[in-house]
Amino acid sequence: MTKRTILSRRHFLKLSGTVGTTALVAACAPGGAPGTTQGGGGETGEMSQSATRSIPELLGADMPGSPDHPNGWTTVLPDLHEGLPPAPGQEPIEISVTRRVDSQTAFGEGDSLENNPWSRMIEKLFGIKLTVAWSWSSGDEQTTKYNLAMASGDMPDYLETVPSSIFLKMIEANLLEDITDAFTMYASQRWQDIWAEYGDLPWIYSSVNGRKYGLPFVSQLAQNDHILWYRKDWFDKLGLSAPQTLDELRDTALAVVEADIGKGAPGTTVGLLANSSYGANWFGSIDPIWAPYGVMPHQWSDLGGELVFDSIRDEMKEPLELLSQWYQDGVFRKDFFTFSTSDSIQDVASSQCGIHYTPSWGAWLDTVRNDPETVWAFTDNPAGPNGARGRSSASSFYPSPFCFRKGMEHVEEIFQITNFMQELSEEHERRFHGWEGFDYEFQEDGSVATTNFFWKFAAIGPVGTRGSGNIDPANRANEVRYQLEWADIPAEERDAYQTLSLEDPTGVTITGKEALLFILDTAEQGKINAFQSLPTPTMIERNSDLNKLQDETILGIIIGDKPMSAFDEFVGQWKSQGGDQITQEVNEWWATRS
Amino acid sequence: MIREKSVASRLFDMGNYLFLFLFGLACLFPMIHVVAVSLSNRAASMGGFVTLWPLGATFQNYLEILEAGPVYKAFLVSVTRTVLGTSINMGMTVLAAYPLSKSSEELKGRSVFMWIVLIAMLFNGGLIPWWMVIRNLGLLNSLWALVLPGALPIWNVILLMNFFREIPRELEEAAIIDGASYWGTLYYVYLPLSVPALATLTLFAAVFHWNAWFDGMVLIMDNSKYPIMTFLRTVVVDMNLQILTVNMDDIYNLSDRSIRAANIVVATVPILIVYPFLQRYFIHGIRLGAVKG
Repeated sequence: MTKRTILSRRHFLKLSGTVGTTALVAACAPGGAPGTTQGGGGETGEMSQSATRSIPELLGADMPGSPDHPNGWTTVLPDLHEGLPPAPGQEPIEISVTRRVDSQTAFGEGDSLENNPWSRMIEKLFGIKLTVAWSWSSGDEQTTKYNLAMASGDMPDYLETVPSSIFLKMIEANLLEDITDAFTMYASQRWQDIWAEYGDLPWIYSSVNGRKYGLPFVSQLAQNDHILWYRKDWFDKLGLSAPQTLDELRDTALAVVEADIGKGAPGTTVGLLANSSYGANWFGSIDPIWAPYGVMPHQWSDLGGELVFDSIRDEMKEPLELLSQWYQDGVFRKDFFTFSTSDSIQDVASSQCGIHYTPSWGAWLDTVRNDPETVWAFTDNPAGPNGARGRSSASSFYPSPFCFRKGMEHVEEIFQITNFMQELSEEHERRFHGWEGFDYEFQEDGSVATTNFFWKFAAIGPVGTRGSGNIDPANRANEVRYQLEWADIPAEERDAYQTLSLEDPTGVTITGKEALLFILDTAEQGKINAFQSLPTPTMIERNSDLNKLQDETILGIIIGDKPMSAFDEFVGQWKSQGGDQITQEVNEWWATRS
Repeated sequence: MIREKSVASRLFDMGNYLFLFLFGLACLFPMIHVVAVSLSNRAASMGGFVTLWPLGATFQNYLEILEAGPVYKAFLVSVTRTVLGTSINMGMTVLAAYPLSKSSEELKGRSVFMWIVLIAMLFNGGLIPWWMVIRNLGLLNSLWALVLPGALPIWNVILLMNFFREIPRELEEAAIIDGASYWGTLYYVYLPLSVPALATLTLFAAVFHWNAWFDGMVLIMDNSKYPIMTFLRTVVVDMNLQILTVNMDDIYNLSDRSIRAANIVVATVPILIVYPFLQRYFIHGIRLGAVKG
């Protein structure tokens, strides 16, 4: 599914040469004072032969990359659209946008969300100034502000990640621009090709009656797919090997508990991490235990053309019995069902728990800091009784789209910026790692250190935003593959960024990258919820009650509070209390889709 | 009056003190815990090792949030807002309470004014009309949006009005006979006599302005102009890390309990400091306003 372009050094130089010339051709007419260039190294001399200003000259300090450092690198910008950059002195077009921010969205001296290296680059290259109409950080704040904007009729031009409920209201009130034609006209061929690979998934949440009203937020492939992480140092000490089946996992976890190797008070070692979200969640999930049995609580499966709610299927019983037995044996924390997902991180950070199902970034750094002997390793998800391995997976296309105000005049410009950013950030041989003093800093010894800031927080979506969106779901995987190839370059020839990406004192960063590639290589294990749509009317009305019923039953059975027979009762109640209605609605949706 | 105490009564007293002591301690515990977490290194607090004493004691968290800037900016916004808002509140309160404390013979149409004030206190237009009024006045995104909409705290006006009414009329009459105007009486007679009430109301107003977060959220569109409580909310609100990013550093940074705790301490300490200074008046003022005799 993923295409990779591998460039040799010669190709690369050729490419930069071409871009250099096109930059000259595309550059605007002479005039205006020459921009200040950074450092004033050899690069400028080469360019100044021509009277026109090159793109690097035009951008000055806002040109990404660090070509002037002895071990720096050059960023190769994509070609600009005809007529760009704008002539000097031309007034920039203003586009107002909404933005998500949080406490990590901090800028250096003089910079802000409206004025930073990214926004200055966009303004200079495209003549567009993006103004922030308003920003939000939490979900309810986002909903409140979108509601206020709708009620007052004061809609910004470009709306970042509109929540589904608001999106539907806006469609009803005819406040959003139809971008069906704009997408085919303005989006780059590459962009359209990438999304075409995913069929109708990209547009499921942002189209109404076959018309598109927004660009989806795209997360990374396998972002929340789990594999089994374990403490290799403990396993070595106890002579254990990585479990290959669920039975072995149980025995291994119990051996860890028995040895009480954890760092807490005696008797507090936890075998396998679990928390109150017994379905799929983002840390310490137990979904790879359900999946080998073909079910995933809360999700829908396609059984011979009909969608069925997994939580009520008979196939649930076997893993339920298994989990209940494990709980009784002491594999889980006695009070695991009182822990929220984020609270359960604590057991891992404090070295009380050494085995957990977590995404590729699960080698948790706090553990290493608290206990320097920590060695994290990952292994394939242990197989179920029939040899099947599985886990929950999610569509990369999220329900909150980026939308355009009805009658917005600059739809094309947003597409142009996105085309440009897609090429720049997803073609990794362009070597775009952000800006010096913004994303990274050079140390005195010539090495590079990343800051806590990331250019994507400053950029507008779909390529960018606080949640770090992309066009290509495989972008991160491509980047990791590209960067791991740098290991073939002799150490003394690497530039500072290559050295940085390959050095890893704690070992967790490289392990995380390998884990991501491993998860992608075993992508067939992923089980995606077959129901990919906004909640149906009965779901909106009944789901909170039905979920409560389900949580009580399933957690109750696992901890032995309820007998297995409670499951059949639950199925009956679920069906009679609206479940049947929901199943019907879900299948109506399914019928329209296929 | 000294009374011989029985053993049982002594035991009861001791039990009582012990209970109250433990209860007080229980109230103090979370605060000390937050301070301890804010002074610990991140790994220790993420591991849940910190209880009442900082581990790997460090000021790093404070330095980090102050260097990062937003908390510092938000702090300044809140200080300005509190000073400005409290001054406006108190000025308006005094100017409204004084005439309203007069009888209807002295102030023609007093009951009409009173009704207007009461209706405004009991009913309001709801969030969206309120927001649109402020927007159409062009206040959005400015500090004035935080201090002007609530410029006249009606509850405080009623408290102060009742307080003024308790001041003997004779004092005012004496002042007027001596040639004082209404302004003079207010300034030389009423205000000096109402210091406890004014101090209490000032405290109310200051605490209100310091703690308010909702208006900051909906009226300030630019997050770099947020007052501290609105900012604090962006820090402590539980992030849904699932929709963030695969950038591990980012997930790591956002789940930092020590930094959150440091932010909470920075946001709470100023108002904690104000309390002891005004508490003397506070108790006095509440009592005076409460009993009408």
